Amino acid sequence: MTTAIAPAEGAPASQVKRPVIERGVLAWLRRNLFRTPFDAALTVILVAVGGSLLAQFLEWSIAQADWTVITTNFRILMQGTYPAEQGHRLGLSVVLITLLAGVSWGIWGKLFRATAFAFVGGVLIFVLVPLAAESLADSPRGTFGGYVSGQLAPLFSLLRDPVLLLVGCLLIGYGLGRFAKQIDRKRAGRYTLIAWFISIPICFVLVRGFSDADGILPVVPTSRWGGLLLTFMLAFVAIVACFPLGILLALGRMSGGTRKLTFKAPPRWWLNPLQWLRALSIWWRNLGNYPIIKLLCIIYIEFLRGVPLVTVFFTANLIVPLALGDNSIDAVVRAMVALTLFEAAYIAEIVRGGLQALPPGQLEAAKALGLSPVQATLFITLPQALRIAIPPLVGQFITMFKDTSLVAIIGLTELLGVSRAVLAQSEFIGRHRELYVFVAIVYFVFSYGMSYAARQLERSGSGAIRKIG
Amino acid sequence: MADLAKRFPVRRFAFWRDVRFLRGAVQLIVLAIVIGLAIWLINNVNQGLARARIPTDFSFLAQPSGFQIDEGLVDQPHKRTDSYANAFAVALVNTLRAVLVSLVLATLLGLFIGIARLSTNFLARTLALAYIEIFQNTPLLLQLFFIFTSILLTLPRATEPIVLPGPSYLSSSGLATPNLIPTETSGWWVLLTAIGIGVGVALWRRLRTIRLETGRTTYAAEIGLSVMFGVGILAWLILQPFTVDFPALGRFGYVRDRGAIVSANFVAIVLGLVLYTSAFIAEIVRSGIQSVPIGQWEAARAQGFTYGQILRLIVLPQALRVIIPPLTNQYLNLAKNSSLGAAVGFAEVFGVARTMAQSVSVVPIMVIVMGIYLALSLITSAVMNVLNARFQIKTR
Repeated sequence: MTTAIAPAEGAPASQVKRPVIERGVLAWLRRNLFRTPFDAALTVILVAVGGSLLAQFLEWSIAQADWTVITTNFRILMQGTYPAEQGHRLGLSVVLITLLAGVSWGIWGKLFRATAFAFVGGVLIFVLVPLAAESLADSPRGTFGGYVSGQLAPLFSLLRDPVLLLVGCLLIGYGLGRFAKQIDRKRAGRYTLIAWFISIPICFVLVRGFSDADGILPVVPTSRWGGLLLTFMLAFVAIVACFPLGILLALGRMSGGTRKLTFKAPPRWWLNPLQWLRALSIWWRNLGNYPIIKLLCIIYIEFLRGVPLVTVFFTANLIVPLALGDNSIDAVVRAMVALTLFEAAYIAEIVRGGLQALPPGQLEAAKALGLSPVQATLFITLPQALRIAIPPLVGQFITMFKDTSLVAIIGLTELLGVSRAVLAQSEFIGRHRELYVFVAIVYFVFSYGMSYAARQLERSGSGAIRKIG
Repeated sequence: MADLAKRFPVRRFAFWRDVRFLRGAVQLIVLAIVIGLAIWLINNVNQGLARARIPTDFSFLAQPSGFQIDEGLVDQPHKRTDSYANAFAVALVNTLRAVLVSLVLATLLGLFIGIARLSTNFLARTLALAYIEIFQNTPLLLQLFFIFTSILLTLPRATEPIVLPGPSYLSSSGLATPNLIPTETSGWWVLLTAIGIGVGVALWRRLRTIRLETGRTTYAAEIGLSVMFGVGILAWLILQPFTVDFPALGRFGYVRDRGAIVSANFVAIVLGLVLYTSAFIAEIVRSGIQSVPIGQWEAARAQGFTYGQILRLIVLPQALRVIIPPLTNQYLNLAKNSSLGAAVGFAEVFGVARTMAQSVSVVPIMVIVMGIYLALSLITSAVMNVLNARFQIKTR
């Protein structure tokens, strides 16, 4: 902040003071916390309120909370009743996905110093707390040392290996991505995208299996998926499946162009049925060259965007087995179908936004070059529209990830459902705070991670339309 | 002309090469596929329902429901002997109540936090950021469960409630606040206040026109505002149109018919919806304010406007153009998210429908429920579209 002092009337220029550039802690405090009396009062109030809330939370979390509810049920929270002897398949999928995420980060993102410090700090906590607990092992119960060794150490040592594995894979992938980027940036990016498209079905097959009990990958029925695993599988399947459907719907809604005929209403036209027909005909002609397809898409999109997701889940849960005449369809599959159909409507609107944001010259140029409508869509408009739509698409994927929690209402045991099941057991009654805080942290880490990645992608310019020059 | 037609004969080509035919054919095929699929699915559902002997008509609506709803505007709004249709009506009123209250509160809180997010005070903007990130990145259902188990279930019994200023009481039987009871003069008061506001607005406009035309100082806002509110306040003092009814504590908790009592479940769903939605509204407000060019701030500051005046008179009106479309989406989300009230035991449309589905066929119930939510969404977006049209830049 520079303070320029205006020269007094008639004062010689030499008496004008140099603007003072304020630096240092005190200047920062004055600028950011005590700029005006009102600011100062606000700061004092916020320190008091925020400080007491934070103090209460810290006191609860490191001195009162009983974290055994998580250490005891950790496996069921993470993977439900997935057979323990098949756990390595999940580990393999996680490693694959995390490596890929790291590689993408290396190619498109940047490792900021603050992020690196956060990673190192996070990992250190998970390593240090169990170590510290060993030295405090003989502290009596009721003291802080006793709480650390009795409550926190088991939790942290349980989480240590997964966290180390995830962070390790992410960093190794980051290194690989940076390396590949230096060799050939364009090809590295393309292969990573292809790898994403291949790896998600691979993970699905890995988790589900395809052979009978004695084969290499015995089938684990979807009814045994649970916890975070089910949350992720629901989100993954819905994201992968709703994307093409959403694009088709968007293209359908944009198809055939639009006309802008206006209905010039004569006075009191609503009394004349002939005028109704005229209005109807103008509305129909304004729908463009494919009015039936466009109307079908509009009805689908607007209907699903107008009803809550729970009602869709609830209906699908009861109707899908009836509609397909097959009672053996699993509740998880029903939920996947419902989530896919529902989210496709939202994806369609986002893709449509991208298509509408394109300058019309793009399509005209493609036509002028002799591309067929299909070619023009596939090679010219759609890729650019998707690129524009990346930020809202990621936002929708985050919403989808959070929306999977609603299947708890129809009785599935994804992360939230399984924690309710755990809380229903008599030994864990009253431990809801600990469990829900843990679940919230899990959701937060993944949602925030996704939005952070999206912001980096946006900043790197990958989401923008390429400009001339 | 005939000569011309002979020299350039119209080339005839097969009708299936005509683009109009192709468009029509493609659409008819798609329509046939969709209709065929729909018929097949509906047929399957009907057969399945017939096999399970579940009726699919709406005749159940007139029958007694057999369950009771305690949540509502009046005491015991739905008794066991009342019809299913009545249950739907009661549930719809509850949904509307929760949505309207949350909508207003979430907008105010979101506006407040969105402005705090851009504050020059480091602490205010950091806390606002933390609030937004925490509530945006965790599922609403989780927040509702947390509110339900960690706040609602730990509230004291009604005999020893938490006393809030007012006095209002908060306990596991709900929130009891003072209520206004109309007397015989309240009709007159409403009439007088309405007249006062009308006259005030008319005066304000007239005086403003005079000022704009002649350049005289006419104190348009001051006179207009004082007439608008002065008449109402004076009439209040003279007529005493309402008596205040304070909530009372009896031996078994709140005394019925004293004060306004809302259930704890209502408090929980409103709290959840407000906290969650306000985080999203705050982000919308922030991006709206940031979309106003910085030159607008600087120009206003150069003309001596205070911070509050700049925000109120210069920035927010321009930001509203950017804010309203995404805000509409958030309002729609809020209305749809109210269907999670079932998670905190609040008797709204979806929750009541779930109870009904245990005794009657699910198909007609879900048709009604989805119809209600569709209508809610359509009304909300219609209202917001009108608002949006009013705030957009008028171009000539």
